[in-house]
Amino acid sequence: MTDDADVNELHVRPKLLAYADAAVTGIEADHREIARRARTRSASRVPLGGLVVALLVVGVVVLVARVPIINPGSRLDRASASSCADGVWPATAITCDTAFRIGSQAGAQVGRARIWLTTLGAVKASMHPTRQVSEPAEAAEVWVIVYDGFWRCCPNAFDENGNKIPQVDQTRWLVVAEAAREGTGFINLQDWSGKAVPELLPLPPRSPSSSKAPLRLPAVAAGEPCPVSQPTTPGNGQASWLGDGPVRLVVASSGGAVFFETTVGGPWKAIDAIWTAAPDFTGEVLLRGARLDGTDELGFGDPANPATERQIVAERGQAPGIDGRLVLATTMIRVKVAGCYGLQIDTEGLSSIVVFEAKPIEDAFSQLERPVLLPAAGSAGCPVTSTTGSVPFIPVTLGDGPVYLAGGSRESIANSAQTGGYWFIKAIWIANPEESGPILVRGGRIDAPGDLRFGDRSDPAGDLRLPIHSYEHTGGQPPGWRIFNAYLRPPSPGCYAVQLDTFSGSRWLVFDVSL
Amino acid sequence: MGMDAVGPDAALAQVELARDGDEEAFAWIVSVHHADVMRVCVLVSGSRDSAEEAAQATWTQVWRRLKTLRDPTRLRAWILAIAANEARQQVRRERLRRLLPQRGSDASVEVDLRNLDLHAALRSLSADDRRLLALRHVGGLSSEEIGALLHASPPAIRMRLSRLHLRLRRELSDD
Repeated sequence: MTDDADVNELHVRPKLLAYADAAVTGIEADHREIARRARTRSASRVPLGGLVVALLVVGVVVLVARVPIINPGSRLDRASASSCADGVWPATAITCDTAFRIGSQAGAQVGRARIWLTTLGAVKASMHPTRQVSEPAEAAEVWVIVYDGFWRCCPNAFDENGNKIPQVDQTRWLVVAEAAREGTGFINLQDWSGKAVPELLPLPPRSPSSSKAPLRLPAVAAGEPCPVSQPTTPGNGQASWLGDGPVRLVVASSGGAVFFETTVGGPWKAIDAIWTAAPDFTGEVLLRGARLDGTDELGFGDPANPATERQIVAERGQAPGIDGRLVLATTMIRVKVAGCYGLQIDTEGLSSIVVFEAKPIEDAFSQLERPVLLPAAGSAGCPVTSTTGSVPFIPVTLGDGPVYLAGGSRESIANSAQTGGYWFIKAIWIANPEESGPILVRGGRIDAPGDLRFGDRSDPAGDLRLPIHSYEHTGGQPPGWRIFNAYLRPPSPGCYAVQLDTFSGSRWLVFDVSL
Repeated sequence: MGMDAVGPDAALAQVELARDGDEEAFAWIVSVHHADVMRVCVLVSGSRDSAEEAAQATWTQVWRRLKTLRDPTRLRAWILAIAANEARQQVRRERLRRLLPQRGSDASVEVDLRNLDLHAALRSLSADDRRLLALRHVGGLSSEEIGALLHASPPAIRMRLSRLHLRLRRELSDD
């Protein structure tokens, strides 16, 4: 023990060490390989700040640099790549030699380096990159360097669903890194789907004048009712959706209202959306929209500078994700203010329109404040809700959905601290894709008088408001599932119930709290 | 610790060799300290995968900066301080990724039910506070040593640690 240990330290220290030890248990680190990587990365620094960050963090070798285009008018070889061997490397900030040097890091052996001019949106439409710290606008042209050779990738890579990707050997790979602009970090466009990078990179989208269907959103005069699209609710445990075309919008809605919430990173508000299609759907989808009763814009993605349109490409062979349908994309629809908005969903030869009224999420919670009607305990004891294994990424949860409760000390407060007259019980709330949220949680003791509170404050709240968007994720979490961490705060042991109010109805979970 | 196991002189000799670019000596240093580097990184980052990335970045920094180490007898504390800083930077990178709008893009937060209480308690702390705890408990450093590494006064470090220990004990109490 160190010189100035205090009594609390003596209690905390063993737990911290056990926690840290758990991280190294079972690891058989290859120290020579770690040392070799350290030397390699240290030695191969190139004077491209963002690029180096990208390589250090992901351990990757491929880079696509969004570099200053010396001759912006020169759209070199869109359909086929330029390569060093051809002697036609375009006039970019990255030379052919630099491209080779960058590509040859972290154990990669580059046989050929080629370069394309394309857009981030085009690449993302046909491959499945993970989103990284900073990305250029999807319509901006970027130079993409693609390597052929051998590279063992990647010890710490995850797919879009948070699943760790097995280390694989690759013979072709690419990454787009924003190297030329200071302070923007990097983006990594490795195709984590495991599919081979195609020989020909996707081309930039066709110009609007040549291919886009005209925007045919209805006009709504200020003060007129918003002609909202009514959601389709199958009623058999499937998520409700908006839209009557082949591509549907799964979103939290009530009576034509769609709810937005504030997210970090920019002034634009977020509407969490999942785009689905029939399992046999293939082709391109173009999403655009605008406010119908005003001049405000509707965008996608970035909360600071959203894209005005979103392209999705559905390929054959994707696995269904929700209700037997393909999950084409999970996106944030961005609006700045409440109002009546329209979305046009263009697929090949068909346009469909969805109209909704965007409202702040606070309005949703107001609508969900129904009377609290908790079940009675009765004389047979606490009617504890059955646990199930319905959540694919947490073995045991309380309830059969669509909202579940889990936690390390769910049924006991023996390991909790009491503050302000209320104990702490750690809880994880899980919503499956059928439940788009938001979720209002209230409860109380049902075998004796007593309330149930929530949160981590010394004066805990009387309700728990679980929003639509969740930043929490866990391994194996499929698309559409959301989790929220929160505390239950019972004042004493006993039988408790919570009422979960959502737009799809009210449900109850009962649990026993014991010392 | 591993350096003591082979004797301080042998350890110092390995450091000197590594400073001169000896790859075997550097690999030996990695083998001795990697487990502690991982422990520090996981305490600060809260995720084994983030810790692995931070640990690799730590060794890159160590190799790059080994010649700047003024007192080779302080190698372990120096390495663990680098590890704590790299893990803290990794936390910032992960936080940026988490704040990105695409659902499912974040794999850094893992809910481990076995350590839920401690995991939640650590997550409620800042990365700076977790760095302090890691240097204290994994590194075994005194307040004076931590203060010297973090450019803070020992009394200030002592006060912060005392508050952190009290907070964690309350969070984790089974009384």
